[in-house]
Amino acid sequence: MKSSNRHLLFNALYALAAIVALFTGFGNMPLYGRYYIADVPGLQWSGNFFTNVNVHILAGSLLLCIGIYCMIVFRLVKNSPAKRLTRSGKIRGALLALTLATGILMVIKNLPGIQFPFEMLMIANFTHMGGAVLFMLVALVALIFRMPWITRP
Amino acid sequence: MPNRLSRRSFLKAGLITATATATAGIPIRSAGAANAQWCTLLDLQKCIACGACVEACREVNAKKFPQPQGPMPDMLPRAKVKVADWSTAEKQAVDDRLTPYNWLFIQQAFGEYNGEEFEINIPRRCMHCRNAPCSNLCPFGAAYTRSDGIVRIHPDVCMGGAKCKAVCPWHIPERQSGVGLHLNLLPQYAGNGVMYKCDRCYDRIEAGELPACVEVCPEAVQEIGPRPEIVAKAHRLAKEIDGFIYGETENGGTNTIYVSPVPFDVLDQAIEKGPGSPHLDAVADSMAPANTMALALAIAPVAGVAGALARFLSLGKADNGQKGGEDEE
Repeated sequence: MKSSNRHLLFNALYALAAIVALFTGFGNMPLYGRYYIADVPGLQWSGNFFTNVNVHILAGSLLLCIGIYCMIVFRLVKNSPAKRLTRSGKIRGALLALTLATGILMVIKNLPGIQFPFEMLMIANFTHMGGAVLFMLVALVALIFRMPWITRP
Repeated sequence: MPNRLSRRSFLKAGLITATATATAGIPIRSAGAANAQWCTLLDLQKCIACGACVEACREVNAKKFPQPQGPMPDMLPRAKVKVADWSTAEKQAVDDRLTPYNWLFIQQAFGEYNGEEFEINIPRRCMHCRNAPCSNLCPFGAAYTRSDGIVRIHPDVCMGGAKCKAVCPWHIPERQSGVGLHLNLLPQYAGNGVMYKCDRCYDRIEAGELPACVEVCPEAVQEIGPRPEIVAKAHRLAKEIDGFIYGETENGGTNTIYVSPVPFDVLDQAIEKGPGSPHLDAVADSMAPANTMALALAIAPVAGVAGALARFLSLGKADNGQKGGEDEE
């Protein structure tokens, strides 16, 4: 695959996963039924909490896969882009990592026979939501002001 | 309402707990501890519908019932958000269905089975599922499962969105509008009160007492104990009476097990069902698909590593890694 095509595919996958994860993340709150989102043709599924959480986990898995890929490739190649992360990239990376880590905790918590103490559940929940919302805001700012993840060599 | 949380105290408590948790390690209770869950057994042959359990439940839990102050907020959009107000004296007195003020009621089934007439009375309340979807899917962590198997909704955190009711196979939790945390946040635009249901008298259990409904029953319909023992007892009893079991496997297993001389599909046809009056139908494990999705999350890191390896191999072929790297933006 040509480098430019690979680039395009990678960016498209990342954007798709992030947008779907954020959309279904908000859908985990009972908002889409209330605010007519689930009435929009093609989005009826978003009003089903079980479907919504399944799609959310899938999108999160894709983000995790991309994140692990980047961590390995960027860390190990020469002239590592990891060393060229912009401040915006560092903030987005940290927020994404925090959101993914707490998301993994939530999925583990949902497995049979596993319970978190109430306090821990609250921390995981609100860290997950807060991290995701901050990531969304920072990513929007980066998109509007064309702030890259890394500086070009 | 006791222990009401303000935004400031909530954040403060969160920070303190975060620090405490970080220093104390992560006390995840795992499958091993699941056997420590307590479970109730209800022998439906014995219930005479005297209502003592319902009365005791209302009396003991009255302090936890909602106390709305002032008018209900004007929530938007009006067409979608309905006020659920059970706080009038007349509505609070309702005891023939589940409400925010009535967490247990007696469902009655009359009919014929094997050529004989039957009358079975069924105390109904939260089943306290072992892998409860209300607890797993609550976006705020207000519904949670305790290590003793009790599924509880914390009234100071619940926003009243009723997601727990939507995902509960029996639609048990009931909403009271005009109370709770959402009034301090965006009362018109998010939330709609607090959801209420049986908490199996968690506070009495903590004090070494029995749940009120178990304690007061003159016919000893209910007993409570460690789940493996209760399941074994339920099977012995079902064998003795040539009866049927409900709750052992429903929704992946619950901590409320009914034993009846009449099959539950027959009872399900005989009871009155509707809002606040749950069914007795068979229920598949509603969390099974979401838990299968956890596999995707487990595979994701492996796929990421495999992708990175493939990338290195392709780089090595192209220029022995002289150029390498990606400029993702």
